[in-house]
Amino acid sequence: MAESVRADEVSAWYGKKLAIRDISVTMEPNKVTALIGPSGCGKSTFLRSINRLHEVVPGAKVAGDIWVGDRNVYGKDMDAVKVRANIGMVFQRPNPFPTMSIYDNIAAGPRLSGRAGKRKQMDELVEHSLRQAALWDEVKDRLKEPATGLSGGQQQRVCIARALAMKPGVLLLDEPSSALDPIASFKIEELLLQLKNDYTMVIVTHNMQQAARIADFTGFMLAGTDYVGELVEYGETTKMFSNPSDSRTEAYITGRFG
Amino acid sequence: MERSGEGETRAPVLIPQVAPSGIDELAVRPGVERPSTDDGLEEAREARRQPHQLRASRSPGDLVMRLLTTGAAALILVTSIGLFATLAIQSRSAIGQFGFGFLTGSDWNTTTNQFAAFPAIAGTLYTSVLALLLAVPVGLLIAVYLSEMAMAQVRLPLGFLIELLAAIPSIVYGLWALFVLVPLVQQHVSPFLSGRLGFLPFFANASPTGLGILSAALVLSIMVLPTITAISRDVLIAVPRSQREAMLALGATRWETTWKVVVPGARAGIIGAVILGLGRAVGETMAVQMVLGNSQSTSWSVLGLGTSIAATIVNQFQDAFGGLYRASLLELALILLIMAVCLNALARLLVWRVAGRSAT
Amino acid sequence: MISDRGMTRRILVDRMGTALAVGAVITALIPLGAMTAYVIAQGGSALSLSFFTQGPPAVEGQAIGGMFPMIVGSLILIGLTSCLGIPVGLLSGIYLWRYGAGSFGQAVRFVTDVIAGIPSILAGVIAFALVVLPTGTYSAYSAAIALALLMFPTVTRATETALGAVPTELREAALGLGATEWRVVVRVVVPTAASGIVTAVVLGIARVTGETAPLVFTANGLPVVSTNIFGPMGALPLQIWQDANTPFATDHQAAFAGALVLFGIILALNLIARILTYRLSRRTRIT
Repeated sequence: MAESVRADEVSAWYGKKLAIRDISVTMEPNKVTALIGPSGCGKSTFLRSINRLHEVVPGAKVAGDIWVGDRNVYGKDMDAVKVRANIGMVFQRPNPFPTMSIYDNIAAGPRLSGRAGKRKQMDELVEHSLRQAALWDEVKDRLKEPATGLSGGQQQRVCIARALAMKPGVLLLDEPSSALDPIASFKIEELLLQLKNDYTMVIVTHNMQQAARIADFTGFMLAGTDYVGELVEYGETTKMFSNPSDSRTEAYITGRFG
Repeated sequence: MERSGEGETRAPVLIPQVAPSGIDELAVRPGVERPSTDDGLEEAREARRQPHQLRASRSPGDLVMRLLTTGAAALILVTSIGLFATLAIQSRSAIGQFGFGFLTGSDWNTTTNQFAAFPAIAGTLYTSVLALLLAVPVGLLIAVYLSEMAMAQVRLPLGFLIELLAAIPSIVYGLWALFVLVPLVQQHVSPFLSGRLGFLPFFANASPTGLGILSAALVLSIMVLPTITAISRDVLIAVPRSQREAMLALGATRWETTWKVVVPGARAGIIGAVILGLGRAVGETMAVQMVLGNSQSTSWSVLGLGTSIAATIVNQFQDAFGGLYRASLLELALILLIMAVCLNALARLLVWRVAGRSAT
Repeated sequence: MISDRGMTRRILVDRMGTALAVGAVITALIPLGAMTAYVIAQGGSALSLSFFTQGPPAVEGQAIGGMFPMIVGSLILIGLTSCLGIPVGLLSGIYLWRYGAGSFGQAVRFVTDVIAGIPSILAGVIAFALVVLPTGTYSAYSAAIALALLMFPTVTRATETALGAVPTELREAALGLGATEWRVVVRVVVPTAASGIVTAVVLGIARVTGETAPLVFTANGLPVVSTNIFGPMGALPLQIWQDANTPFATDHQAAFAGALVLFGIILALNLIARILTYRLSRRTRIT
């Protein structure tokens, strides 16, 4: 079931260096929220704070709370591993596990988190996930082949299916199509539009046109002269792009910098 | 998870009372103070500004992994201390008895229980240095060939063959040396050298058996060659291509480029390779023992018999009874350990500086 | 413009230098070829089926006999050594990769490199002092300890390097799915690094198979088949050495036959290492 994501004054550090400051935003369920901004503004850092992947870097710290659904992922008794098992993440470069077949890649999530059921259930889960990722028909006859034998776009859909197999409430995507050719990229965008029926999606993208095409809401982030990223403006995508409230947003969108 | 039908999905989730909902209020402008209703809220906000003390997730499996891997690492550390300690402790009676004279004396007598290591040390160093004198020029030239001259198709097979030389066990070298090299030396090389150049101390007092320093140095040089070649090749390849190109652009020949730019550029690494080869040579046991003749004598003649530390140990260990005899052999082992460790440490330092940690 | 005479001379030097280098290559390959040919010739003529089924001759000098007990002994020793060396090498490699940034890790790295360089005879001497002396008997397991000492540093180093070569994004993907640290390591990172690790293990086994000196002080040799790891044991390289040192021609022939078998095993292991590297790295090639 799709869940909302509410960030409450989230700041994050790499060691002593502050990367993002006081980000507060609510992302609605069953909607696509895009985070745009020039590179280095902390979009990915914020994204990784949501599923507590940020703290994996030695010395990394987070302040503030993030509520996914009705639970604070930074709550006192929250286990980071369990948090990540309930949030899906897709990365910039397709990264299927090279030692595993397509089938094993999709099954990896449940197996790694100790949730693997019986064979038949796993078969159904794999098929369902691949259907959701619009890949089933293309690979159904070669599930046992290595995932690295697929094209870039197909590999990225394997990664999406892999994340979906965990039945997350939220799907985080970090520039999911920036490493793909335009056709594959387009197919991914189509897929994301379909998926929002069942999931909440937060997508980081440096491609404004992509945000304009697929996002319901958009957040614009910017790092000031102190190199600390902040959320400058957030709103419905159509409003952001036609009539932004902040002059910096307008400058970025019209291409005066970026 | 079933796909919900077209249309609305329930907006889920309870949002706690404190936080505002709705989109416009969330377009936070940096620097704009959020209206606070009372000081308690301000304090709570300050508290929230502090980074979380995040407890790293530690499942039982993680702890087991940490335990096992740390245990293995600790075991290695303990073992290395034990290495030195054992040899030092077990040889203390000999150290106490003979003191520094152990290194300089030449008397190795099992009947009078007098032991001194100079012949063994001298023999080790003599055979090793000789072996290097032969192996370094050849090895360096092969490395130059592999890095500067060979075509791609030749490089891989040739490299493999050199590695094969390295893979042959010492005992097989010894066997071949004993039955082929030694007779060769005995029947051709030794008579030739002592006949023509016997007035030189290096070729006097030839042993009629063909065993001796020369045979040992010859087989040792072949054994040490792959080490020198492989490491030299790695450090030569590590010299940036731009330097070669600059030299060639000035109109230099490939040979000149090699010796004026590439080899000097890799000089530290090549010296490291040589020292590493020396380290391997001093520790070689089987092949040397089989052709050296095992005589506790010291002489400059390469045609005469000799001994090495490793050969002495392996020869006499099984017969060694009695504390002092055994302790002396163990002191020899300790000397060899110190030699090898120092040479290896020095070599690695030099090689890493030039070619990075994976080169050896 | 450089004078033509000077240029000609320099080109001549270049050609001669190249010839010299090629000459060096040939010089190195001659002993390789000679040795191989000689061992095959001498060993081959002495080799027969009974070599693999019989033990050494009861009476010295009468027959070539066989080395079956020594082959068995070598296999047992390799097995024991692997049981010690591979886990220690693998686990310490994981430690260094994951937790080894601090001074403890640096110390372990340094020490591993030191141990990597000690002559094999010393490994035997140390095992002798630590195990054989106190227990009062030669034993196969003391030999395994000595050989494991020689084996593990390459495995440790190769493991750390191979794990470090696995791209971070794979680790992140696994973590992102909600896997615990150890599962990420065991199910994703190590399998991806398998190529480098397995190669090092096979090469380590190849090296250890041919070692003789450590065995002199620990296993000591035995003329019959034995599975008692607490007692002395025969091994192929040991027997070759002992046979070479006798005055009997038949023993020498046996030594050559044994050398041929040993050579063959080591060559095969090296080839297997190469093939494994190729096939495993193809499997994990990230397109």
